Amino acid sequence: MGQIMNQSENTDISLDFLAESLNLGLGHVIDELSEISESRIELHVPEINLIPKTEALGFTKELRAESKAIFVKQQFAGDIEGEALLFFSEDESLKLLNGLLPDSDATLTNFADVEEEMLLDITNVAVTGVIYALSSILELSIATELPKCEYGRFDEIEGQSNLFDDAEEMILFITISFTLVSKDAKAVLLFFQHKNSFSKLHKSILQKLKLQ
Amino acid sequence: MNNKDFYLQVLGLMDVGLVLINKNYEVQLWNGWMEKLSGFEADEVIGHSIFDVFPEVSGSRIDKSINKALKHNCPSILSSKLTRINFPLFISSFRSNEKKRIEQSILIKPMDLSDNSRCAVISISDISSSKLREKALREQTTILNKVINQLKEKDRHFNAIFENNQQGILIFDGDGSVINSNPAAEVMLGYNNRRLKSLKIPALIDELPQYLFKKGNEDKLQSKLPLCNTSIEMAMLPESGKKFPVELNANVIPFDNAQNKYFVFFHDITEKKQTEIILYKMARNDSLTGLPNRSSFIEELDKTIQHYKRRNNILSLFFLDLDRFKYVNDRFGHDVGNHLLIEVAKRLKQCVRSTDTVARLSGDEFAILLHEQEKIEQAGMIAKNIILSISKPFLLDGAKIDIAASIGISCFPMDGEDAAVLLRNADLAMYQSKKEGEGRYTFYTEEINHLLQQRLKMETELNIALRDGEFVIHYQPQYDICSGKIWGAEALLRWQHPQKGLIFPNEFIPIAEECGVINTILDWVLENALVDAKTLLNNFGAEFKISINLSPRQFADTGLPQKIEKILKKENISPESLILDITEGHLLAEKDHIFALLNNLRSMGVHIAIDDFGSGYSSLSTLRKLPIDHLKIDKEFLTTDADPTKQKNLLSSIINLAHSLELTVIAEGVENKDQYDLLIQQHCDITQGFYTNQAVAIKEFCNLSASNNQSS
Repeated sequence: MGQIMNQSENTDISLDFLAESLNLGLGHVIDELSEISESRIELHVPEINLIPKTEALGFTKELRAESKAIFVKQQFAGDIEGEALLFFSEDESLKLLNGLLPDSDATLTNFADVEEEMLLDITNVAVTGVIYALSSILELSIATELPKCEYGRFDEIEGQSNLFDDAEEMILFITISFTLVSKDAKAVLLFFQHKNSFSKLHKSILQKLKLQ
Repeated sequence: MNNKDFYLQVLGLMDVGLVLINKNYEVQLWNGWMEKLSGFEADEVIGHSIFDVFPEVSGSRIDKSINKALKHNCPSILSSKLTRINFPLFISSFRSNEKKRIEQSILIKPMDLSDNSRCAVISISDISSSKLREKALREQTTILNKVINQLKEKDRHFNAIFENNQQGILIFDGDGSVINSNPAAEVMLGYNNRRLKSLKIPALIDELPQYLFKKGNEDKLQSKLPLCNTSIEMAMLPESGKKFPVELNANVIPFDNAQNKYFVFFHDITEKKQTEIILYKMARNDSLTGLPNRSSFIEELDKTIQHYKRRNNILSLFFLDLDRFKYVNDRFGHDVGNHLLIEVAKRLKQCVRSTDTVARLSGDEFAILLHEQEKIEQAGMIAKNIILSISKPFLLDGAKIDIAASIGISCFPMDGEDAAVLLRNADLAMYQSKKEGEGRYTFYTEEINHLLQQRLKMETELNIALRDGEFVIHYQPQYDICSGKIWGAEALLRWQHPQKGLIFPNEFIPIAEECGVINTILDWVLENALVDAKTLLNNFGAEFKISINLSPRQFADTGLPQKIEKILKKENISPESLILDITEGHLLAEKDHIFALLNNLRSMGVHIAIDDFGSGYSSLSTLRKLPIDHLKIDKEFLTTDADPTKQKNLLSSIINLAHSLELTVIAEGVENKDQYDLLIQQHCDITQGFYTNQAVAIKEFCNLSASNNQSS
């Protein structure tokens, strides 16, 4: 079977496998977020694409128009390496965090240290959950760093980072979205992975599927 | 000190809690910070399960996170907000000994050891003080946000007001530079916002010149601006260069003195000003002729007098009244009358200098103010010119109209030192002109004033006379020349003045006409003469005639026939016994109306006589058409200084003419036997006068009946 499939088909199968695996493996992430928010959370089937970095970052156009942006980065290393990046406008982040807070708590109205800590907490829950799911399914050893947060105007953050370096590089772009049912709040997590690292991931998937 | 002791000592100094837990959840490291805040010494907890030390965290997110670190190699960051439970760690309050549980930020990281085992490192930070600071900051932020929102709201309100205000708004700084303008100002001034911002206020507002905007002139500028809710009129200079008036108010936006800013609100009052001008003109000018009216004329006269008092100048004031204007109005209608007044105004203006003032006071009364005259005689010359000009025919609407002007002149300062006195004296002088005949002018004199005083006195006395019954009627007998018997009597009004004695009508009737009591007097005469007529008829028989003079004022009374009829019925007198005398001149003036009135009276049976026949200009054809029964020959025909032959022939002709028209001829004013004989000779019918009898009171008249009867 492996000999007769081309590389593109292999890649598609890898991505489908990855998506299905994440869907199944993210249960404990949802549990933890539900516990935190005291609200039922619905997970949407993750979308996984291999696309150029510029395309993946296309959505950031909207953030440029916003007054303030929040940029969370969490690195992981081991058998595969990469980083998860999350971008929020200030309003989006506050909406998400207010969704997670019990109704009895006061509504958050601006982004400060408390909000940063909360955002790092839930980002960490989600990212470590995804990484753990991958590492469990593919039997990989992956260590995750704690997330870091940048807050400010998007252009300033972009200028201080290498976000748009190697713009044409193909990256793994995973979109995981969930809805806090009772709070009517949504969140989208985006994962980026360097192509080299993706090759390793791809190889591991094919091995798992006994396609290689 | 070995390495382990060294690191333990360092960890003991750290201001965070550090706990190391092995795969069995047993505490391996417990630093000094933890000892201090947990109340447990390291010796007490090391080797014991963390859940034994802090049972309350068992099953919590802390528990799960330790598990994730140990089992899944996943770190955790537990935010205090999203973690419902934390470690039971306490600090003492500064103000009391009470222990207070700290707010915590907890990090849990997996750590692989060299023996391939894994442990979890828990670091705990006290964020209580951060929380307090953050709380304070959040409160401040909330307040700040509120303030910002309020300011934004105000800004929106201000912008809405600024942008949509119908009034123009200009904001400028102390040196006059325009900082901003609203759309209304831009429309009114014809500049766009950018252009306005490049201009300075002196280029836009006439009344605010450049020097006001120099440094140090702030007080002068503010004194020129209408501050404190006041407003003033100023002139705006728009881009078109065509200035327009605005009503403007201003205010200061205070900074320090050097940086004060100002704003002005203004609106275009061009229409308002035009309306004001129209209203002012309407209030001050006569709408018909366009000349100043009475009030504005008096105002100007007052001003001129005040001015002349300082310069010792003289001026003349004309009071002009048109003669025969009422006739024009009645004869040709009010439209022609109005047209005539307009033309008169034009002629008057042509007769004086452009600096002199011509005004219409009311009706057909005009006034002229001649400024700065060197000699009084000049006024006389101008008056002559005016009289000449007005006496020239006016051709209006196809009609040729002849009128005249009577002028009275008063001069400042000789004839009065204020407007009211000068105007009154000119009026008196005009009245004197009228008395002397139309088309004359008269300078005011003290004598005129004296006459006026007398007139005023008489006016008062006339009213008293009416009230106290001082009027009496005397009757002059009229004799039938053929029979020598009393034929009738003419009722003649007399005023039995308590001091002056008997006063004849020619002395008081004109004044009674002017002061408005004439109608009352005439009615009184009519009523009382007819009451007396009853007595006279009783004494002299049913053929007796009583003559009563009708005044022109009574012609205007359309109810006169009914009034007479009512009295005749009341006194039970036959209408044929009454003769109403109408002066020939009056008959001609208002022919149609009088003909109708006379026909009406005549149809009742009342007789009509033409009085003073020969003094007017009745044509024979007119005489033929008149509804009359008697002709009273004017006494002028009997004067002896005329050529006797001519007098005789003329008298003969008149009597013959009257007889041919079947009119009874009555000769009045017969004073001597020659006249009486002449009348007999010429076959005159009736005679009256001093020669036969003077007018006497009713009682004396009745005494004549005896002699009358004797004569018969």
